[in-house]
Amino acid sequence: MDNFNLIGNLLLSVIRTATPILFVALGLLVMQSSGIINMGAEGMMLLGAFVGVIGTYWTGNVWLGVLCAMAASGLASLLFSYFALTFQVNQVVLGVAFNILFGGVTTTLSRSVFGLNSAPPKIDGFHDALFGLPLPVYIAFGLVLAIHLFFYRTKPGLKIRAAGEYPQAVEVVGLSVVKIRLLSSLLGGLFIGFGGAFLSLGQLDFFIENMSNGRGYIALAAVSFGKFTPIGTMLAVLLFGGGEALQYRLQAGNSIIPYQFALMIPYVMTIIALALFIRNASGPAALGKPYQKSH
Amino acid sequence: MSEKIGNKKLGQVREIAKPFISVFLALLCGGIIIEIIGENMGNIYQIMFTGAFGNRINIAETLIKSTTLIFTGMSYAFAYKCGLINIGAEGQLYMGAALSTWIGVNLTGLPAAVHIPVALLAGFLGGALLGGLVGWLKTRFDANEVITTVMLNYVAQYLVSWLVTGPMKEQPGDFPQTAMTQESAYLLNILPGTRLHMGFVLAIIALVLYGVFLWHTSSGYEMRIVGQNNKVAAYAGMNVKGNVMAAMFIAGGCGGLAGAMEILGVQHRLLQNFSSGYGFDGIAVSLLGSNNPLGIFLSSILFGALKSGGNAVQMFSNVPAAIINIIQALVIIFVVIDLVSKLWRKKMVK
Repeated sequence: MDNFNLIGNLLLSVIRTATPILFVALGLLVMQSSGIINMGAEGMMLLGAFVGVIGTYWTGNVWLGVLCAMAASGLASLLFSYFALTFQVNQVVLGVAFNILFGGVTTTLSRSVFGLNSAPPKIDGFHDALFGLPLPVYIAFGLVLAIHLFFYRTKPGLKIRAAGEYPQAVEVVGLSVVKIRLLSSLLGGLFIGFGGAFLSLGQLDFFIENMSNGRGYIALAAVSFGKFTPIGTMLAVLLFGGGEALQYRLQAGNSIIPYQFALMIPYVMTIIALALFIRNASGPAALGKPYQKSH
Repeated sequence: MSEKIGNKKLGQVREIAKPFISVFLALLCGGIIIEIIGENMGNIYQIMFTGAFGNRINIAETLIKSTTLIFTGMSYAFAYKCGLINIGAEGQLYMGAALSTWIGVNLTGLPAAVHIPVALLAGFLGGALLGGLVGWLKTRFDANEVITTVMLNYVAQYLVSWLVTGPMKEQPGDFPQTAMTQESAYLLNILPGTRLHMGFVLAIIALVLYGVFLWHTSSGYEMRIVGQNNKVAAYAGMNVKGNVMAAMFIAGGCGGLAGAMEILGVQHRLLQNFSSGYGFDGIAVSLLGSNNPLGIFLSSILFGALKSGGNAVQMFSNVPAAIINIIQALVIIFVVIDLVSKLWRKKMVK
């Protein structure tokens, strides 16, 4: 019975730590499917984490906080893609700049709102709803199914995938590739914002500077690892979530492994996954390429 | 005819003016954020300027920061010239710092003329090995270097954190730090009364070497061709994988030297989290400087000034030093989207 509980607890903690990354990865999946590489996901997640806390702090309602976070990250993502598409720039460098930008913005604003030395104010984050897990966890995993159906069973989903796979054909039938990509970015940004908000409001109930700690990049790796499908992405995220949960366990227990090595686990796992398994994952054909109308 | 020449001249003026206008616009946007958090923009920028150039010591501190930035800037630029995006200068800096600290602490009885070069070489190697790992993952497994470099930044920082609390910890001692390096490994002072060290001169020499290699040797030319179009390069019989490996190795080495500068020139011992984001600053330094030696030099002075000015701002006002990151990111964005040309062209059309 004890063992059973142990496994159950481990599973719950895997699912819980995987949830913020899952939101971000799904947002990235939507964007990548339409042909946009959002290397700025790390910063947008951080923005969501910060705005989620601020929104909850000011409104007193965690769901309003989440809405604020989604709006902020959605706008940031839209802005990113607007720059990337209209100026046809290197999406990777632009993404890195967004990460630095939101790192600076969130640190600056959080210090001016909460101060540096004062104790963090009490914020009422998410409570456990069902089986010891809060509601957003169910939303995240529900989204996997929803996006799967959306991609493979609906016309708009097909259009998004077509914009990433074969943009010329999309223009031929009279649709705008740019518009599809912008809308996908907005949608993806909303998910990324939710992921950020759950990062800060799911367990800690507070914002810590640079708390995303590379999760945006890990989510990017998860999308490729999951071969650009919603279900594959979910499985990849669960694996990375497992690594993170394991890291907490190793730190908590009196293990002989120095805690720094435990902390490295998610990052090393990502590198190994990238090296060994992602090689053959072919993404959307037009991924990251600026699209120029042919006329 | 004369109109053509006029246009050409205007184009040149624009190319030279571009980075300055980008920086000005970024400072302006940063100023708006300063106003939003309830401080006075003019006031803050004045503190920043005085903090960076107010007196001899401040100027020296700015140049010390520029020294490290030249190396992280070159780290990004070198990889970029070969078509790679190296976000890993921060991790490379930590590894370089760790290795040069080890040499600095543990080799005793050497004259400075030997100890300094050996410690610098160790710093280069520390970063180069990490960069080489990225190159190997890229060429052997086709692993995206952006993600691997970011992941390795975390790994390197945790490794250093372990080193200074474990095997390299000062004995006896209670702090998470190594012992001081031998004085024979201190980079020589070049401006009495300040902390400015010979690393600044070494950085300039390194920049010259960087320029000569890339633009005046056939290996450098080959590397740039690989960077521009690796299919063409492969078709022309060039060794694409070899060039990618070499570029990541050297780029990593530059990042490692940045770490060596911090240890041998400034801190003289290894601490946890001692770098205030120099590796990431290097990206902005390189992009603003169009990846060329003179450009990198000038933008390293600018960002060095922002960094020491930012510290002064954090000390004397309620604006945190992170405001610098905002300005930096905006500079990158404005340069990358070439905002100035766009505004300029619109005005010309009107």
